[in-house]
Amino acid sequence: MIGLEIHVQLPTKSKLFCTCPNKTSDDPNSIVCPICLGMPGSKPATNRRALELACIAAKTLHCRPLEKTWFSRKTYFYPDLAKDFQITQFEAPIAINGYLDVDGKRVGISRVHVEEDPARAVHDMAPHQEYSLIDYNRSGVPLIEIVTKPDMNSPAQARDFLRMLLSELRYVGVVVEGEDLKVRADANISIEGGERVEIKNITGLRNLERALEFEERRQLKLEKAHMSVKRETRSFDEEKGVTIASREKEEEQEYGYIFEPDLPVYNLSSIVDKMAKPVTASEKAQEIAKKFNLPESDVRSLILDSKPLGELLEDIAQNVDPSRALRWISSVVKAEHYKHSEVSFSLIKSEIERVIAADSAGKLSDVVVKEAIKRIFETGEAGELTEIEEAEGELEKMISNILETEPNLLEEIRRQPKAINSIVGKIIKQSKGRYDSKKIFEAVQKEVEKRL
Amino acid sequence: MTTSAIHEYIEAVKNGKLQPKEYIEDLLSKLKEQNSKSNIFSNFANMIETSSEGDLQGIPFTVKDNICVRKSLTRAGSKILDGYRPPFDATVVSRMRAAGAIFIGSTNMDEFGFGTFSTNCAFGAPKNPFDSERSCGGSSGGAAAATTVMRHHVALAESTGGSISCPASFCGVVGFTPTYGRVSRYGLIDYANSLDKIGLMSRSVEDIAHVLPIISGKDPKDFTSLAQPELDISDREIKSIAIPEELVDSIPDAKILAMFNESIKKLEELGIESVKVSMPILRFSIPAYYILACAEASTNLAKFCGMRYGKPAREYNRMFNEFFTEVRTENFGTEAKRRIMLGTFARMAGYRDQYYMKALRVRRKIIERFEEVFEEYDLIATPTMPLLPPRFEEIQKMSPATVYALDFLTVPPNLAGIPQISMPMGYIENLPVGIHFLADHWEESKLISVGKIWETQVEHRFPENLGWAL
Ligand SMILES: [Zn+2]
Repeated sequence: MIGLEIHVQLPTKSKLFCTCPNKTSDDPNSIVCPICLGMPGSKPATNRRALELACIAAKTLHCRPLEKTWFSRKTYFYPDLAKDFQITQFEAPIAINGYLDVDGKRVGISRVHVEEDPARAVHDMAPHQEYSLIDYNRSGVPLIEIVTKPDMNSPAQARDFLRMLLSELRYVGVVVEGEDLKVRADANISIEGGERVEIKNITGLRNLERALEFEERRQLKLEKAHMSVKRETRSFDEEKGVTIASREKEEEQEYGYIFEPDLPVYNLSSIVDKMAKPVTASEKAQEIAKKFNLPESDVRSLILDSKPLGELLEDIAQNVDPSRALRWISSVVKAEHYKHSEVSFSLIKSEIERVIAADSAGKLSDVVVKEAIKRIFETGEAGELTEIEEAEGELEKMISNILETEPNLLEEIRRQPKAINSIVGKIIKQSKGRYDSKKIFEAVQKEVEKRL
Repeated sequence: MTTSAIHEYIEAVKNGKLQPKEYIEDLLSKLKEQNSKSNIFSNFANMIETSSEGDLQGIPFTVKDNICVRKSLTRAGSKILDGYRPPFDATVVSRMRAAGAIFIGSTNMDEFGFGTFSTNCAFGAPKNPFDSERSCGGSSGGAAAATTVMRHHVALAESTGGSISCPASFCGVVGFTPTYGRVSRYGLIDYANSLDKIGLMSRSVEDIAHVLPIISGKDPKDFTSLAQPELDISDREIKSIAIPEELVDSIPDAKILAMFNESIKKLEELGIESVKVSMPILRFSIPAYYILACAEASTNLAKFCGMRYGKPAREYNRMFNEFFTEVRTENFGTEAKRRIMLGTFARMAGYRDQYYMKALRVRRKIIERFEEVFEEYDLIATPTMPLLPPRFEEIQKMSPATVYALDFLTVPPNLAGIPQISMPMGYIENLPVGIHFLADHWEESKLISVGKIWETQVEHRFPENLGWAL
């Protein structure tokens, strides 16, 4: 059984309790103020946008928002914690009791809450690691913590769940691109009849799966050897790919939570009630697939990859052959979109639609479509589209040219009809793929027959 | 009859009789000279900047040592903050400055506010201007003594459990504690955030009425200041005063009690009815207060570990917990350590429900009882402190529990977050005795009104050998 505690940063403009911008910087301690440094006398002032984003996340995960929510102090001593307490939520999180379906498997969500990120400790700067340095740029960045029930049965399932969770949250704007690598998770894992082991502070999707796979194997080996799995906290060594028992003593950490006395009780029902339930990626995929009669899983994976691509599909599919639209948007448009992320769809949508529409009418070859889409991303325009029909005369001309300049080809065909293929190959090369190979074959056959 | 020293001062500045810069420089040199004996100040302003703008033109003000003053030594009475100069002004300080008042220095206090006599101060206890063998009260002892020795001056003080009223009473001045949330706490070095209130000390109610509107009001940097209704200090009619019998009956000093009964009689002669009320729930105030205050304090004090401000440890090359432990062991005073341990205990799993959560419920009940009383009566009155300012040698013999118990009159209103004013009630053996008036949440105007009435009944006295004010 596997359960996860997932921490993701919220894309607000400023930090959770101060006005420092919420961004990263290579210049350590450049995005700080008395509040996120925990200077004596400073007080937190809550960023409401963070609460709103947390509400959106909670609704996306089908959680029940609590009528009243408040912050608490979790007190422990650690150098990366500016105040030596973290402002987090304890008794009254934003929301509880939700779920997320992943490939037909339902994973329960226990709670969603908001908290501040600690600073970042840098351990490898000093010679011989005599001391560590602290970069407070991250101190006070808003996080949501999502706690699942222990509903996952394998490391792969946990990975798929987390990937789906991040995609869904990205779709509703709660998570930004790139979080797959940055997401931090704690994982609880136990095999049947065994004790629960917690792996702390795993970074990124890939490492989550690796850590869980290693830990599963380790526990199974112990079981096979008739040794018991100890209830403990472990950490994951990314380089060696192993989990290691943490040095900390095995007693339950004691945080002595109290209510955060500088902040009020929030009644978020005003926010939540006004908020339409966000349409999740899965729901949107279902809707589009039904409307245009497309395979739901293909639409979903497109939407989860990128919300703008999903919107483009929904838009264009109304005016062109939907399956062609899906095919091109999932392939070439997607690839070009990632290559040219600065290009906005609002500017090039009509050109993309023009190309796919022409293709839907059967007028274009694949290569022409591909080249045209590339040109759109590079120049903003598809330019002239070489249509197949228009080119018909030209194709015949090309064939006669070859037959005239190389009369021995006809002789060869007479002896061996299969030799016709060599002409087809030459034409494909010459026409740079403007025509369907089938069409070329038929045209060559016609021209050859005329001369035989 | 006391007149407003602030008005007097502003008139003198206007008429050209007084140059604030010269006046304050002269004042500072006198204060510095006597500070080695009086220990009132923990730090003096480095530079005097005068302004001719605002309602408080050139009025000198002092700041309790736990309120941040930009670039000026601010240590909250603790060795652990030695050398700390905040990068910003507390909201109250910037509001005072914007009104034209002039910061002249920070005043000594019990470490982080932990005390009743200002004897838990890392930089020495301030001495009572009425008798230097005796305590000023605490924790805002320096602020009160500064007010005793300066006529034209306002002190920014702070109360968590009675730290304005107690020293005001012991030093014979007016101490005003506003409703919790009335004055922004941004820049106050926290003791217990749900109880801390910044307030004022001065020699007259008139002066308090002049300055209170300047420091009050919403501040987006302190969310707990945002719920307040607008401050109104217009005169109110005071018809009735309630006297909680459990509190008054517990006062052991017969002279203080007699003086209080006499005072109530005087108020009745002035047409204010007085009625004894029973508030038995108040006997739980002290335990509830110490649990909540210490629980919050133990989290607030966690940040003092020598990392970014204050005293660092002697060596860096070791584990962080060893580093933190050395800093905290060597630099926190005994009372701070006691309250950290008490507070940590009260919030730990297993004890949390029994202590911390229970204390929150008791506070709720106490607030409800106060509200019931204020539905019927305008004010509540008691003596401020149950004893005369004690001698330092007597204080040394008191156990912590004895000292905590002495706060039984001042803790209940502080726990409830209601506004209070302590004023001179009279003098016993040439030592000042205070009377304490309490009003319902946000009813500061009733306290100002009763204060103006009461001020006509008592001639304020100040020690003559210190009479070098204007
Ligand atoms: Zn900041």
